[in-house]
Parts: sequence; structure tokens; C-alpha cells
Amino acid sequence: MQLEKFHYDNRIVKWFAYATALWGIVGMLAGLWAAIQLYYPASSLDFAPTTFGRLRPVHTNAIIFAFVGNCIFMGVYYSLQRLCKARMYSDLLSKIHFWGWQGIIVAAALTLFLGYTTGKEYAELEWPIDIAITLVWVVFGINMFGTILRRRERHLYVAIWFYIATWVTVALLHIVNSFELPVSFLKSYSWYAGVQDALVQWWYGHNAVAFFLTTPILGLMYYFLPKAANRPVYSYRLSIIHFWALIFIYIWAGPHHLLYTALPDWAQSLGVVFSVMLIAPSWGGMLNGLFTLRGAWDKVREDPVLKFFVVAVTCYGMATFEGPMLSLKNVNAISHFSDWTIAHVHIGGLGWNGFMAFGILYWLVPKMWGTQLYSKKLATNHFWLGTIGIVLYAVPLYWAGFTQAQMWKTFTEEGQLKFQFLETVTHIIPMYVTRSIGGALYLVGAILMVYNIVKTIRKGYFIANEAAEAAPLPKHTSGGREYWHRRIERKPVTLLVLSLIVVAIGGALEMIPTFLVKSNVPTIASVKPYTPLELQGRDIYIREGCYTCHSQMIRPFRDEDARYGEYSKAGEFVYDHPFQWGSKRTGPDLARVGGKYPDSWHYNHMLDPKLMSPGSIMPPYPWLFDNKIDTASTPAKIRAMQQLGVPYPEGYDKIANQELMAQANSIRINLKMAKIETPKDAEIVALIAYLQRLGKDIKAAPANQVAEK
Amino acid sequence: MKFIHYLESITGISIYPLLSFVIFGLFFLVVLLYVIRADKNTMRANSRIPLEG
Repeated sequence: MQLEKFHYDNRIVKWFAYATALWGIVGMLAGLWAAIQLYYPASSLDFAPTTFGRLRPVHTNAIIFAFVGNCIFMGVYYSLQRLCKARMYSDLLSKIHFWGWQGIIVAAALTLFLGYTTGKEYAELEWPIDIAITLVWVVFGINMFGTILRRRERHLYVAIWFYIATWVTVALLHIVNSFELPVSFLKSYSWYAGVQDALVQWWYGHNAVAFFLTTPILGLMYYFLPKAANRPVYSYRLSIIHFWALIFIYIWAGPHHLLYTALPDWAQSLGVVFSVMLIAPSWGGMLNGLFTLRGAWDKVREDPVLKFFVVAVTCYGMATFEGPMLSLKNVNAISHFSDWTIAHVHIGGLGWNGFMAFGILYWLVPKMWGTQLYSKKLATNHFWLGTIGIVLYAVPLYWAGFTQAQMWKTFTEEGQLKFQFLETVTHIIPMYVTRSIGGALYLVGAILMVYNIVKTIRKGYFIANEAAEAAPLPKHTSGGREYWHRRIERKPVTLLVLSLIVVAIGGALEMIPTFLVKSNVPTIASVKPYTPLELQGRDIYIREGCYTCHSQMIRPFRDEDARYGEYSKAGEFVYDHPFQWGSKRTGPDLARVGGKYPDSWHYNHMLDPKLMSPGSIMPPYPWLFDNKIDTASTPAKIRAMQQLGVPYPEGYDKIANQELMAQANSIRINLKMAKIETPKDAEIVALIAYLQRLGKDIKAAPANQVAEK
Repeated sequence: MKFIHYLESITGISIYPLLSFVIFGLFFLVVLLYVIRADKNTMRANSRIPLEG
């Protein structure tokens, strides 16, 4: 048969490679900066955009969607062409994809710094950016499927299955979790409230880890690891089981982020069971990767690329062992809200995602520039810096998490809590310092890599269009007897639909029951919608990213009950669009902070936290005292809430600002009695109103309604 | 209305976790069966695809 000549498009791979390196450094810098703020709060510069609450989402979004995202696209665009023996379907679509994604990243960074956020972790971006993501994702999909359909290789290699499952699931997750009602150009409210919002958010959050940080990278592993080791994957059979079992089970596990919360018990248990089951396919995949190197360990000693891959896959194994353990309720009771989780995700982020990206870059750049790596030694140094960095990062945080959780739970013999919250924080500050040193080492390693790559590029000559040839795909003439899975493997669209069904089953069974209960059921009669001033205050709370350090979810434990008050009930959150349960307690829980302190305490505390709690690591928020409440937005916000089912009376939007001012004035008078002068329309007034409302409603409930479980 | 058990008391809620397990179990068996019965040479050929390009 006549061989067809064609060219692989390396230019698009090059662009994504540059973007990976650039955003990697940026994202790590943001992370390091945020880490330093935890023990040196002055490094927030008293400047709104660079406070922890805004910097942390910038860090997470930059690492996940910019660094790892570009790495995924780099790897997919390189490997897909070769696995399909075809050039990318359309150079124009590739270009649109690239520039669209970078535009989204820049828009994301700007809006997050400016405080435009939905307040839902890892999905903080506001609705116009959400729409842009959807469009660019569709472009990527068309380009990918176009290539697959024009392939010259009958069988779809397992890496491509992972790419397809990634594409379809991320689309599903993104769309479902981003249901939000726009209030203005850069402000929206989550369609869901309270428990439902939490369930959807963590179904999304968990599966963003699964289908953005795991499955595409596994696809890359199945391509680049055999490539770099120059030997086929250990067991192709295992990879098939790995694929189906992983995508099936992963989707169920979301509720393990909500153990001991107000989420219904059965959903929590389901999440736990599936999380524990998840260990099997994850380890199947890890072993498949590691066993690929059987008999080739001498190569690992020589080759920095393989070194990175080995540690990456090992970290994947560690993180996926730890994940199921963390979702056991008794372990989660300790780990949740503590730094343990942060350590866990960084084993995945720094080890698995970071090291895979570095390995791929070190392998790809010399290939595409037709040369050798500038310095193997430098790459090996990078490897060791990175590895030591990971250890120095993670070990102190495990220690910190475990120690702090134990301190939270310690009682004196008299039955009193032994430690103030702040004591538990100041106790672990040395760990925060060590962690940032680990992070800094890791960053230095990455900078070495950039230098090494630049030198390599200077040395080589870029092969923009790599010549290749392959026979065209003959028309398939199967003689009837063919195994069904073989047929699926040949049909990308069928594979896509099947993947979608597999992940949708988990999603649907997990969520439908919770949605059977309407969010506006008057579950606790005394729980009332927020007043307009509180609503504005809540939006300030969201804008400043308070949820990155403060939870609003008291778990039913003796210590939390003693420290924060009665445990949180699902019915308390029915008007919370979005929910603000949080996932980390760098500061104390705020679910019942309302009425705990006088208004003046909050005023002084926001002005300078150290004044009210010496040793506090919370940054000051001076701008809240100068900024005016955006009263022009009140009517629109009230109308949006009404549309979402919050029972404000008809026409309330017209008088909302009047009530807002009345309440603000009463707070102003309160403050004045404490000898504090403030204009009643300052943002701090709204924030105080919100904080003073938190957790109060339930106290007004008749006794028979607040029966214990 | 007592509010604390309102989510747990959805009628027939226990069918959901059960259904989950049955679906996954069946699905897994089917995949396992396929993998066991798959042709050795095809598997080997498939696993070599990345090395050809």
C-alpha cells in the first residue's frame, strides 16, 4: 500500500511547552508567597490583591489550570499526533485553543487579584470566564476528535482513552458546577445553595483532581514513560482495567470531602466506600507504570527524565494510597481542616503533576529541537532539589496537621479545652517556615530547568514540521466475529459516549437524592434570608477569600462543640448561595461567630488582627474602612436571590437599600458607643453585619426544633 | 416539622448505594472478562503503538 507523507505539528507543542514553564514558575511563586504570608503576614503588603485570601486562589488556579493545564495540552498535542499517525486536525483550532487558554489564564489572574470570585474552591472564576473556558474546551475537543477521526492507526492506544474521558468529564463537571445566576458582568450567585452547593462543588472539586490532575496525566504517563524507557507498557490488559475502573469509581468519591458535615450520612458513607475502592485501580496504574521499567533500572540511574517519572509515579502511588485513608471517617476527623490535607495535595501536585511535567519537558525539548539536553547534570540537580523540596514541604505539614488537630481535641482534666485556637496556630509556625523552604527549593529547581531548556533550545534547531509517513487506514472489513471491546476501541465517539455514561452514573446516583429535597423547603422555621446589609457583607467575605482560612461548618465532635458551639445543621444553609463551608482552618471556624464578640471587636480586629489576638497571622484589611458599600448593586442582588428561591417579599428590591442603611446606622451607633467613628456606608459595617449574623438563626428556634440527633 | 432528619428520610434512599454497587460490580466483571479473554498478540501489538511513532 502507498505510504502517505505528512508532517507533525511541533509548533503548537512548543507554545504549550513555553506556557507550561512560564505559568509553572508564576504559580509556584504565588504559592511560595502565600506560604510566607502564613508566618510573616506583613508580606501581604496590606494591599488587597496580594492578601492570602486572594493570592491562594491565584496560586491554585495558576498551578491547576495554567501549569498543569498547559502541560496536558503540550503532551496531548505531541502524543496524539504520533499515536494517530496524523497531524492535528486544524492548525487554526490549535492556535485558537492556545491563545484562548492563555487569555483565560490572564483574565483569571486579573479577576482573582481584583476579588472577583464565585467563592467556590477551584471554580472561583466568574461566569464570563466560565463561558470562555467552555468555548475553548469545545475547540480543543473538535481538534482532538478531528485528529482521531483522521488517524492512520486503527487501534486507539490507551492514552487516547484517557484523553477522551478527560475531555468529556471535565466538560460535564465544569458545566454542572458552573450553574450560576449572573448579577452583573463579573458577579454571580451559585444556582445551588447550602448542602446541595457543597455536594456539587465537591463532586466537582474531587473530580477536577481526578479528571484534570490525574486521568490526562495518566494518559501522558502511558505515552511518555514507555517512550522515554523505550519499552512497551508492562501490561496492556492492566491498563484497560485501570482505565475503566478508575473513571468509574473516581466520580463517586466526592463526598469524602464532606465527612462529618451536614451532608446526609448515606452520601458520606457512599463516598467513603468508593474512595477505599479507588485504591485498587490507582495502584494498578502506578504498578503498571513502575513495572514498565522492570529490567531497565540501570537507565533510571543515567537518565534524569526517567528519574522524574519514577518519583512522579511513586508520588502518585503515595497520594492515591493516602487519599482513601484520608476518606476513612476516623482519619478524616483528624486530617480535615488541618495542614495534613495541604501536605497530601502537594505530594500529588509537586510530586506527580510537577515531576511528570518536568520529565516530559526534558524529554520533549531535545526531541523537538533535534539536539541533546544542554546539561544532564543540571537536570539531575533539579531532580534532587525537587525531591528534597517535596520532602521538606510535606513532612513538616504532616507534622503540623497532626499536631494541630490533636491540640484542637485536647481537653484538660477539668473538661475544658486545653488550647486556645491561636495557640495551636503559633505552635506550628516553625513547620510553616520549613514548608516554605521546601517550596523555595522546588522553585529553584524549576528555574534551573528553565535555564537548562533555554540553553538546549539555543543549541538546537527547531523542527516545526516533523516529517512522517504511514499507510492510510484501510476500510474496515470485519468478518462478523469480533469482540465488542475491540469495536469500541476503534470508535472514538462510542468510547466518548461510554465514558460519559460511566461517569454520569456515579454523578447521578450521588446527586439525585440530594436534589429530591427542594432547597427552599422551610426546614428550620427560624432560619431567615440575609438582610441586604448582611448580603453585601457576605459578598465582601467571599471577595476577600475568607473561606480560604475559615470554615463555616462545625462538625459533631465534643471539641468543636465546646469551641465553636452547636454543630452545624443542613437546614441552616438553605439561603447560602454559594455555601462557604471552607476546607481549611488556618483561623477558627466562623459558623457561630455571630454575637460572640461586640461589633467594636470585629472593627478593631479587621483593622489590625494582632490588636485583638496577639500573635495572630491574619492580615489586616485596611481598605474595608475606606471602601464604600456598593449599594447600587443591592436591588439586583435581591432580585437574583429571589430568582434562586430566597423568599424575600415581592418588591423588596426597591426598599432593600433603605433597610440596609437603617441596619448600617445601628451598627454605626454601636461602634460609636465604643468610641469608634465610622461612616455607616463603609464596607467594614456590612462585613460586621454579616459576621454578627452567622449561626444565630438557630438560636431563635423553639426548643423542640433543635432536638439533638 | 423536625428538620434534622429531613435528608435521611427520603423514601427508598437505601436503593441508591445498593444500585451503585451492583452497577459497578457488573461493569467491572464485564471489563475483567474482556481483558482475560483478549488476544495476547493483539495486546502486545497495541502496547507497542507509542514506540512506532
